[in-house]
Order: sequence, then structure tokens, then C-alpha cells
Amino acid sequence: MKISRIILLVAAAILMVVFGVSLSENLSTYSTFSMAKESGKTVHIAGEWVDRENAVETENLFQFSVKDSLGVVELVHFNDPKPNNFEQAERIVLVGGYDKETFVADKIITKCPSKYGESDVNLE
Amino acid sequence: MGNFFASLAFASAFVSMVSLFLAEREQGKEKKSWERLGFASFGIHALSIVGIIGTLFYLIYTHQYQFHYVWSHSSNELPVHYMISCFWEGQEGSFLLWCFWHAVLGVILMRTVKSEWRGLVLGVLASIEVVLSSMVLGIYVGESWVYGIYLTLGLIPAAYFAFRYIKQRDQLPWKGSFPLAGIFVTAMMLVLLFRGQDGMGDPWSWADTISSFDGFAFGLAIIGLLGFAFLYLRYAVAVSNNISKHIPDLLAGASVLGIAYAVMNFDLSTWKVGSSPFLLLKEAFPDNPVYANDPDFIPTNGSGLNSLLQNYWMVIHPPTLFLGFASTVVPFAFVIAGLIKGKYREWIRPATPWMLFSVMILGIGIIMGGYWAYETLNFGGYWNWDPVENGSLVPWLCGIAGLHGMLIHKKTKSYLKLSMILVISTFWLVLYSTFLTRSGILGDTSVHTFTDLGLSGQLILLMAIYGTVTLILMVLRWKAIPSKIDDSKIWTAEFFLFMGILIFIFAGLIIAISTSLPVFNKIFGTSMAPPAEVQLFYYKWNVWFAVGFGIFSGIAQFLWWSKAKKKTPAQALYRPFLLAMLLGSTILVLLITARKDFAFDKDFASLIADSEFASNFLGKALAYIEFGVMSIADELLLFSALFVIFANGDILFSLLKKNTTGLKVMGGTVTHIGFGLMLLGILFSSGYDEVISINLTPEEMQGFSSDEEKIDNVGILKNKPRLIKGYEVTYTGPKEAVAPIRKLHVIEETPEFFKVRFRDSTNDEFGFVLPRPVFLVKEEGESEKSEGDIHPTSNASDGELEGEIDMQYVEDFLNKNLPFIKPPHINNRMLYGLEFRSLKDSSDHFKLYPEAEINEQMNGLIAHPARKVYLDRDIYVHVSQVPANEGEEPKYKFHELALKPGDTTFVGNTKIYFHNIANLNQRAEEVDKNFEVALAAHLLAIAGQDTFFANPMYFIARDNTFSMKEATIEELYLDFVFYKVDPQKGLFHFQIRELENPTSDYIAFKAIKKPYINLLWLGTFILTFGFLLAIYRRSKES
Repeated sequence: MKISRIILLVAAAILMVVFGVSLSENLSTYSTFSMAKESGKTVHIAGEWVDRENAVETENLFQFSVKDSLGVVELVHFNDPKPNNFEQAERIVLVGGYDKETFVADKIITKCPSKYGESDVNLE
Repeated sequence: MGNFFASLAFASAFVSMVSLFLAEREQGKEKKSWERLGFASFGIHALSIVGIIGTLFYLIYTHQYQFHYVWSHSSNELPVHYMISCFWEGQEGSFLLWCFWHAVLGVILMRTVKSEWRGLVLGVLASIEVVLSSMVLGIYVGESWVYGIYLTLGLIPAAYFAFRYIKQRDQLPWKGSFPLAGIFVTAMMLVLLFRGQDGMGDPWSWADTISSFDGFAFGLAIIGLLGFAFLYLRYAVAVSNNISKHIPDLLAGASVLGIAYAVMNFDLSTWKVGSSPFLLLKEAFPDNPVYANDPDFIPTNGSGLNSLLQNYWMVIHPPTLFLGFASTVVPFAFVIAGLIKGKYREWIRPATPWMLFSVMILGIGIIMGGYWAYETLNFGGYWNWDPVENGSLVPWLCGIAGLHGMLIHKKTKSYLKLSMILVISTFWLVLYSTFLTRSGILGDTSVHTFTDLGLSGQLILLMAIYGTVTLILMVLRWKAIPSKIDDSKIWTAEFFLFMGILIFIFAGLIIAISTSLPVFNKIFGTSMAPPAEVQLFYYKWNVWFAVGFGIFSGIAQFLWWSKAKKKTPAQALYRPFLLAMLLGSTILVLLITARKDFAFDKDFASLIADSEFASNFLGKALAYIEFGVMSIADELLLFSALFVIFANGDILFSLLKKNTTGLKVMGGTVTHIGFGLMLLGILFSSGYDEVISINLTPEEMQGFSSDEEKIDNVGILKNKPRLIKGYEVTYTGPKEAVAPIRKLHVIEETPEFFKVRFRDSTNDEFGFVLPRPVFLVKEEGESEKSEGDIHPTSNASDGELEGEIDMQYVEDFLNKNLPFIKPPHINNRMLYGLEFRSLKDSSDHFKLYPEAEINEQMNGLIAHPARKVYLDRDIYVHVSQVPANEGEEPKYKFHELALKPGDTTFVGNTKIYFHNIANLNQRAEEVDKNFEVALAAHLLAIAGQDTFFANPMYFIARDNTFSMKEATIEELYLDFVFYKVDPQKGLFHFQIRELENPTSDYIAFKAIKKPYINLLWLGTFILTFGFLLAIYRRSKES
């Protein structure tokens, strides 16, 4: 083994360790509003859109209520128009965190029911 | 028909695989005949794949909606070229496409590869085809006839194995294990017997399985399987020094093991092999109430193609990508063949052009996908680090690494094992990425929605088989593979090439690990979510790889060529280094003077703020280091990309001077220049992109002062210009994407109905079904004039349906009714005209028509961006909000005007000019006969640079009743009513209604400036060109 090789291997090992730590630091978790509030971190929250009538929509703000897995309902700010498929989504995943007292979503992932999954699909 | 082809494809691939592997054991004539059988059946396989595709396409083309696949992916309205893309919208279709490319590649290989390699390479290919074509079989393993095939398939290798055992018992070191094998076979049979009869719960659940009544048989099977596995491993070890003879034995053993595992784990009666594209709709939804009423029900229209895929890039992107995927198998097959034959070095030469080809096509496919996303989707870019994209990027990175490994090996004879592993991994990663995207496992992390067709089990099996078989092969051959430690010094091309390989491996690993988080979650039951700032996360890792790539490849290329010229590295490299430094710092200075922050700098500032939350000291320290280091990352990337371009440009220049050999060998240099350009393009377009749709209209600035608020979308009313960064934008109103029809023709006729196809002016094609009796040519004597849209059908009641269809009438009808008969997803497609005027340069103005549709299936706004392409930047615009269909009550403001001809007045900002009055009585006798007074007012409305006309009218009939005719200028929301004439004062009275809340003319849009994105596309072209040159050269060599 040449020295240069050993150095390379060590460098590679260090790189992987750094990556591991960095990944674990950057990972967000699927969590709830209360956990998000406590930690102040950016998290993924899966939940359900509730109180649909009172959602506010403008070109730069979509404000709506989400109930998380523990049943906590929170008002969510989203600084973009309402995303596609939002009406249909059976579940939504919010990526965001608390800015002072408001939950600001940076990204919304909507999960729609599968188009062809059910047998009661309307064929007409 | 289709199912027949599918079975044939499967069977012939199987025969081909077996006979080609058997051929390898034989010599001379025997070998020839086996090979001939193998090639012939591969030919049959290829033909039947073409047969399946032909059948499926015919079904789609003729709208046979009784088939589930056709129904779910196509519709009457689909133009032909999109029918092609709906062919591969579904998973079955994409597997078919993959099979198809394999078949094509196989046929090419049969003709081009030297006979020494031909058999085995094709054999490996055929073995993959066996599995792939099973994906479209769609048969239940539990069905009785399949059972027979299944048993035979399982038992033949078992019997073969037993036969070998009996024959060579004495020479083998594993005497005495026979009883175990006996137990195994008995147990297997028992399980088969029981399992065939009951459909138990979850086939994946061991608990379910064990608690069920056949737990005993299951236990036996486990013992038998373990015994067999033990036997097999011992056998493998025993024969490992003379492996090529025993390959079939090993394969047979492996297949018995695999099948046995499958038998024990799956509930056979519900376990399905593949998913057939020829499934009937009725079979797919047997419980649908429709079938209770009418068992023969066939839908008249399909549910349509996802409108995001209705883009011409979707017609060519998937085949390209899949060709890339498919072609990774060729180098893989060469490696396997090399391993089996024990020709460890020789495979590299014939495999190199294929490796080049595969990497090139895969690269093009990926970029095309990016271009499609850029053009069709509104996430604002070409790359989103979505798992699907990563899934194709990782094999590419690995393939690049493998390619360079092969190249170094050619020169130095070292890095052989590394290249083999990389080539194998490339192929395996393709399988893995297919698994990721098709199994639905990505669930919450991807914006794409995937449904699991029940193929994930098969895909796992596929990965497991190729993983273990190649692993076993590698392990067994490990010692035999010649290896030579690279003892080259640091300043050699090889060293830097190796560094480059490492970089690509790391980049691939890091992306693969991050993308695979859902898989880890599934396995370990954790709930890790991907980094919240995905873009940033990937950026901060990969920017270093890109920097490393630039520097290493620049140096490596230089050293590679400079060795011949006997220059020292410093002499050779100073020129490009200086040039890159010079240009790089010039650009930097320009950027700094223009006060352009690098886009991610802000994110890093917030990162450092967040670092308070880092849970441990290491994390905190890392965050600070990261911040410090990252703030210069983009400058370094800029430098290294320039460096690689200049370094390679320099080499290219000197190569071209010796033009005889230069042209031939310049593939590599050209490719690297292309890649450098791509990096530059990516750096500028992604790093320095800028949202320019920020409302700067002065009177509306209040309330928007806060800097922190993210306001990327600008709301705009029709004809009310807005100021945004650098431009004045005017919304000129919607325009329907569909216009009058052309190319009308009848495609199908029944006595009651006929189907027509036609195109609109945008060249979209539609189909429509019309009742036939209504549109027949009327016979003479029938009343010509009939009010309404429908011809009288005097004959229809008598059941008389003969006669010609009146095409002229059909055309008129369609033209008149187009807006109503267009299918919903086309009906709601609108183009929104936005006029941009540059504030700096008055000659720089353009109009864009970003498209948006209200999609009923997806129930949302689907916006397709529009772009203005400059040489040095793109202006990328998409609509983010369009008027809702249910508007509020209209509100009007009334303006009463009394004017003389020639008067001018203002209504709001609109200037109204009353030109004159026309006396209609003088114009036409008919008018004069009916009306005492008939006047038309000529009014002009001038708004901004546009002038509109309005002619409201005023009538007094002979019987002294009076009436009015309003005039409307839609563009300005003004209605004009001419209601009174005052002859004494010479005044004419008008009422002007101004619509105050024209909600229907309000949209919001987002505009992004993407500088130098053309460098990315240019780089791609150069890269491809370089690859082509290299392929040409390497295929000459082999």
C-alpha cells in the first residue's frame, strides 16, 4: 500500500462520516405541531385539511387549517397560491416550521387517492 | 392475441437463456447447435415483443375501451402522437418499452459481437428478458395450468441437480447430504399441496403463515430449504476452482432456492406474476355496478392521458431514457460473460463502446426529462432532486465512474476489479431505481404519485437474483481476477482519473442514500423524512463534487495528453489555470458590482441562525464550518468549470493541429468541454436565477414593504399594466387554446353513430361521436330550411338509416359547438396573453402565452410555463392563479353622459370620443319601412395605446315604441347604452356601465429570470457530440 492510497482511504472515510452526520443533522422528521413548536426546527407534518370554508386565498398567500395526527388543529401559512390537487388530497404533508407563533409551510405535498385503485370507479 | 405474444415472449426468452448457457458448456458442433437454438429463440422473443407492442398500440389506436389499459390511459380526444406517449404512461407499457430495447440491442449484438462473446452475452440478456417479460404476463400463479408450468420450471432444475449428484456422487465432497435434499423436496411438495388450496391473508406476513394450519408443512419446508442451502453452499465452495463447468449447476441450485423461497412465502392462488396490459376493464373492476346492469358494457371514452404528459418531449423522452436503462445491460452482460469464461481483461475492449453509448443515451434521457419538466411543469426549473430524477442520475454517475475505470484499465492494467464492480452496480442500480419508482415505496417523499401494481415483489426478486448471482460469481472469482496495484505517482493522469472516479462514486452514493430513506424507513420501521431544504442539501454536497470534477478532469486530461509531449505539469497547466482565474475573477467582479448575491447565500445565513438548534457540539461546529466553506463554493465551482473548459480547449486545439490523429481521439476532450459548459449553465441558471415578478407598481407598494415576506406572484388585471423587475407587464386577456376545426374525417361508422376526428388550429386532434341519422344528406324535396341545430330526420322513425353523411353540415355543427363538445380537459385550456416591455430598452418587448388549464380530473390548476429565450437568459413565466369559475355578482358603476358629436370625456382612465351619428334610415329601405328614427352613435374609447369602437343604437318604431341596442367593449368592461336624443340642445344621451369587479379578468403569474441556461443545453449537445466521437473510435478498436 502506498501512502497516497492510505491517505485517500482515510479521506474517503472522513467524507462518509461527515456526510452521515450532516445527513442526520439535516434530516427532518415526520412530526406534529406541538413537537414542531418545541423544537423550532423544520419538520414534515402529515395531516388533514379541516375547516375548508375559512381558508384564505390570494396570489401570495394560502391560509388554511390542518389537523395533525394528534388531532391538533393549526392555522398554516403558505406563501404561494393554493397548490394543485388540494381539494382532492386525502392527506397532505406540510414541510415547514414555526416562525414565532405561526406555522409557515415552505412546501406542501398532496397525496391523492389513486386514480384507479378503487373498484367503485365511475366508468361512464 | 396480446397475451399469446406475452407468453411466447416469456417462454422463448427462457428457452434462449437455457440453451445459450448450456452451449457454453459444450464444444464444437454441440455448442453450435445449442447456440443456434438460443439465437433462434431470441429472435422469436424479439418478434413477440414487437407483437405485443403492435397489438397494444392497435388497441389504443382503435379506442378499444373494453381493455383496462386503454381505458385508463387513452381517450377519444387524444392525438396520435400522444397515443404513443400514453402507450408508456402505464407501468406495463414502460416495461414493454424496456423489453423492446433489450430485444433490439440483443439483435444488434447477435450481428456485431464476435462469436467468442456472442453466446454468453446474449444469454445474460435473455435471462433478464425472462424476468422482464414476466412483468407483463399478468397470470395468477395459483391458476391450475400455470401451476403445471410452474412445477415443471421448479422441478427441472431440481431434477437436473439431483441427476448430477447421482452421477458424480463419488467425486464430490458432499456425500451424505442427500437425505436433506430429500426432506426438502418432500416438504416443498407438501407446501405446494396445501398452499394451492386456500387463499390466506397477507402473503408477506410470517405470523399469518405460521399460525395457519399448514404450519407443519411450512416448518418442514424451512428445514428442507436450510438443508438445501447448506448443500448448495458446500457444493459451490467445492467447485469454486473450476467454476465454468459448474455454472449451470449453480444456476439451477440458485433457481431452486429462489423458487422454493417464493413457494413458501407467497400465497400462490393470489400471487400474480406481472400485470398484463391486456386485462379487460371488466376483469379489473368486476364489482362495478355497471356490469350488473349490462355485462357487455364498453365505455365510449377513456379516462384520458395525464395532461402533463401531453407534451412532445414525453413522446421521445421515455424511449431515450429506457434505451439508456436498457443499454446498461450490455456492459453488464460482458462482465458476467468475462467472469464465467475466466477472460477477465478481454471483455473490456468490446464493452467500451457500449458503455459509452449507454452513458450517453442515459445522459441525454435525463436532460430531456429535465427539459420536459422545465417546459411543462411549473416548479420553475429543470431539476428538482425528486427521487425519480435521482433514480436515473445515480446509475449515470456510477456508469461514468465505471467507464473511466475501464479507460484506466486499458492504459495501466490496474483497477480491473473496481471497473467490474462499477459496471455491475450500474446495471443493478437501474433495477433498484425501477423498484423505487414503481413500488410506491417513495410515498410521502415524492411529488409523483405511484401506485403499486403488485410488481414490487417481483422487482425485489429480480434485484435479489442479480445481486446474489453476481455477488457469488465475483466472490468465487475474486482471487482469479488479475489485479495490479496502481503504483503510479501522484502527477499522473491515472491518479487524477482515479480521483475523478471516486468523486462520481461518492456523489452517487450520497444521492442514493438520501433518496433511499423511505426504503430504510420501511425496513427499520423508522420515520426519517428527507431534509427539508432538499435543494440546498443536495447542492451543498454536490457542488464539491462538481468542483472536484472540474479540477481533476482538467488536470487528468492534460496529463493524459501531455505525457506524450514530455511537458511538466506546471508548464502544461499554467495557461488554462491563468485563463480560468482571469475570466472567473472578472465574472465575480461583475457580479459583485451588479450586487448579485449568490442565491443560496441567504439560505446559509438562515442555516447559521438555525444552527443554535443543532443538538450536539459536532453539529454546531459543522454548521459553522459549513457556512464558512460554502460561502466560497460557488466561486470555486465557477473557477473549476472554466478550468476544465480551458484545459480541454487547449488540448483540443493542440490535437487539431495534428489533424490526422487529432480528430479521431478528441472525443474525450470534447465531452469534457461539454460537461464543463453544462456545469456553468447549471451554476448560473440555478444559482443566480431571480424571481422578477415582484410588484413594483408605485401606487400599490404600500403594505408590501416588509422584505421578509415572500411575494413571488403578481396579480394583474386585464389591460392594467404592472411594473415588475425590469419589465412592464400588461395582461391582454385569455385566449382559448382551441380554434376552428380542420382535417375533419370519419373514422368509424355504425348505423346509429359515427365517430369523427379533427384538428383545431393548434393542431391538437380530437374525436367526437355523433348520432348518424341527424347528419345524413337530406334528400330532395325535404324542407331545406329548418331552424335550430339539428336536421329533421323524417326517415329515422322508420328505422331507415341509409344514406351519406353530410360532411359540410358536420363541420358547421362542430365549428359552432366546439366550445361545448370539447372534452373538459381541453375545454379548460386557456392561453393567457402577457405583454412584456423592458424598462431599459424600449425595443425589447415580447408577448408570452403561458397556458393553464382547470383540470377536472386533478381538480386543480395545471399551469404550463411559457418562455422568452434570449441568448444569455430565459424569462420563464407561468400563471399561478386564474379566475375562478363561479364569480361573484357583477357590480357596475354608471356614468351618464350627454354629448355632442366631437366631444371628448373621460370614464375612469378611458378617454371617450363621440365621433358622430349615423342615420340608419338612409342606409336601408327595410329599416326605413319599420322605423321612424334609427340612429347609430359612433364612439371611440381610447385606453392606453389601444382604441376601441362602440356603436350603440337608438330606434323609434313606426308605432312609436322605442328600443335600444347596446354596444359592449369587452376589453374595457364598458357597456354603452344610447337612450335619449335631445334635438333642441343637439345632445345625445348615453349611459355607460363600467364593470367594477371584473374578476374574470384577473390572473396571477410568476416570472423567473434564468441566466445562461442556454449553456446547459449547448453543453449537452457538445457532450453528446464528444460521446459520439468516442464511440466511433472505440468501436473501431474493438
